[in-house]
Amino acid sequence: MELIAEGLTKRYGDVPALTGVSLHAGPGVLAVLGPNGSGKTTLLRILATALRPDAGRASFAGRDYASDPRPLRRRIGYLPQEIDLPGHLTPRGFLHYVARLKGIQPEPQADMLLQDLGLGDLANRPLRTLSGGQARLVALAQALLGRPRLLILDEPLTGLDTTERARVLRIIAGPPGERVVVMSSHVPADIEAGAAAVLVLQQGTVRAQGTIDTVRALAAGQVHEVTIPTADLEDTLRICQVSQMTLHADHALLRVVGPLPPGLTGTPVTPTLEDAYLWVQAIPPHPQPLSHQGRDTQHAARNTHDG
Amino acid sequence: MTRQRRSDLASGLSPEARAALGDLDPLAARLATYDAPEPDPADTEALIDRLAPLVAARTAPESDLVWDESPAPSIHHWLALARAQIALIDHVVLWAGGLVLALGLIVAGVGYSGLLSLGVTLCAPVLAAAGVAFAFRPAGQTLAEIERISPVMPLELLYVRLGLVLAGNLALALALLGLVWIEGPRLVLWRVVLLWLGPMLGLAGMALYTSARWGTIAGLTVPLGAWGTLVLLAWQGVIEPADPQVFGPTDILVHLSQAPGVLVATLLLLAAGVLLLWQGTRLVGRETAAWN
Repeated sequence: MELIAEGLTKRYGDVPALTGVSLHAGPGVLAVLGPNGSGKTTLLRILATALRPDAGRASFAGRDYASDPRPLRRRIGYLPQEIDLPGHLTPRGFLHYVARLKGIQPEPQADMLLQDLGLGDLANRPLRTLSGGQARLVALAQALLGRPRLLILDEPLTGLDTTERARVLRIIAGPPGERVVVMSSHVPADIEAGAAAVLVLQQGTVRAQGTIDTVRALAAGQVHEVTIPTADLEDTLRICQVSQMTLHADHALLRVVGPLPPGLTGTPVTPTLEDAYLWVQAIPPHPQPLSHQGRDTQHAARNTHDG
Repeated sequence: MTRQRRSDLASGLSPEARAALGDLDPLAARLATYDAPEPDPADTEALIDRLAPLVAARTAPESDLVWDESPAPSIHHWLALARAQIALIDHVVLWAGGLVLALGLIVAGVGYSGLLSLGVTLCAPVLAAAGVAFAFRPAGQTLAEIERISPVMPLELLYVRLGLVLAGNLALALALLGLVWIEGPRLVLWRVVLLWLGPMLGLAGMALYTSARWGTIAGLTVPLGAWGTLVLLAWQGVIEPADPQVFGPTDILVHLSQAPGVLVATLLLLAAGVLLLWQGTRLVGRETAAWN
């Protein structure tokens, strides 16, 4: 059960949104990282069959996206980025509607999902009365209806508190080997806990792809902890890329990504995903062959589930 | 030949489990010096034959993904879709529809049944246009996106919503026919039906096409504006020149239904409506088709 995409390209008028994006994901969570405008949503909409690419191909579990999309869509759960639900419906009514669109019995799945996501008490309240985070959870519940084998989630953790994030990550992943999950985020810390593999997008191109460890390793030797006097902080921030900063009374502890400028010394530290994310955005594009990336990602996903 | 260290043999076990195994040194030494026999090719083949089905069942989760081709939609499918769509309709719309009917009934109740029939004739196309524009408005970006990737094709949703809107108008038409029967021979049935059907389909088609191409606001304002213009033109061209002695709601309806220009206009509207419905349907289908 693999999701394979090759050479996906999409332009909006003269503006390129995606340029030759390829990916290969096995069971487990593939996180798509990238800054705003990097093409994450476009990629996810294409993988969810909501948008047609200008070029490229994709398949899931051997099913070509270019064939009749209905059988594929029965296996896909999709959470769009924008959450704007019809306010007069209740969460239960909304899930019933989506279940009927998917051709499945709404109950008992709808109630179970609402319970799992901590929305049991809100099941019969109009959606317009829910908070942003609660509405996002309702939208996530519809994506999980029918036990989809391919879950495409556009920033599912936005607006959720720490407890909810952990619970949602667990629910999203599902039983080992059951589904392929592609989720986007621009917060590396969210991904580090729950994803098996990561793909970093920037300006519509793939900047890095592989297991979390593989991507972290890209920044090996490039991350230093540096202590500087507070007075030098402004100048240092101007010339260095800093992933983390702790301020003290007379000095500041910085986590600097990239080569240290002359005159600055620091202690090398093991990169986090956030460090690597900053590093791969800073270095010039250096695409790896698809076959290598694909095997790496797939291998990582399997390893994660195998324990 | 397999070389196995003692620590490897017990790796992953709890201290209690390691203790229960006892001294593993002799076993580790035996494994380190053990020369495994080379299997016979026939034995290897037989083993692979026996293992292959087990391996396939364990490592190919996609084997339970059966890509059934989509069957032709059944009547049950259409009814289930219509039921689901009705659930989406906000109560505000039902209240608005009920209010229009209530006003008509109040007018009829005070003795102006002809006014009711005129009112229904005038309201039906407006309701059709508003209904179509409402039915195709984005109920929310999220829902629109979810509908776009659902196994139900966009055209199926389009047909169901059109069917619901037209069914609502059919109910109004039946009410109108009842009033025509009450009014007597002065009103010719086919002319009144054409007077109602032409604008209704014309404006419904206009609402669908404009809302599909330019969005909900255009889908609502263009047909309503067109309807207002038509009513004004009909008033100036047919009603104002008529004999003021016979001026009344029923007379207005009679005059309109007997005016050749109005009938030609309604015929043109009917044809345009069918064309726009067809074009709008194609537009929605083309814009929302993904990948194929």
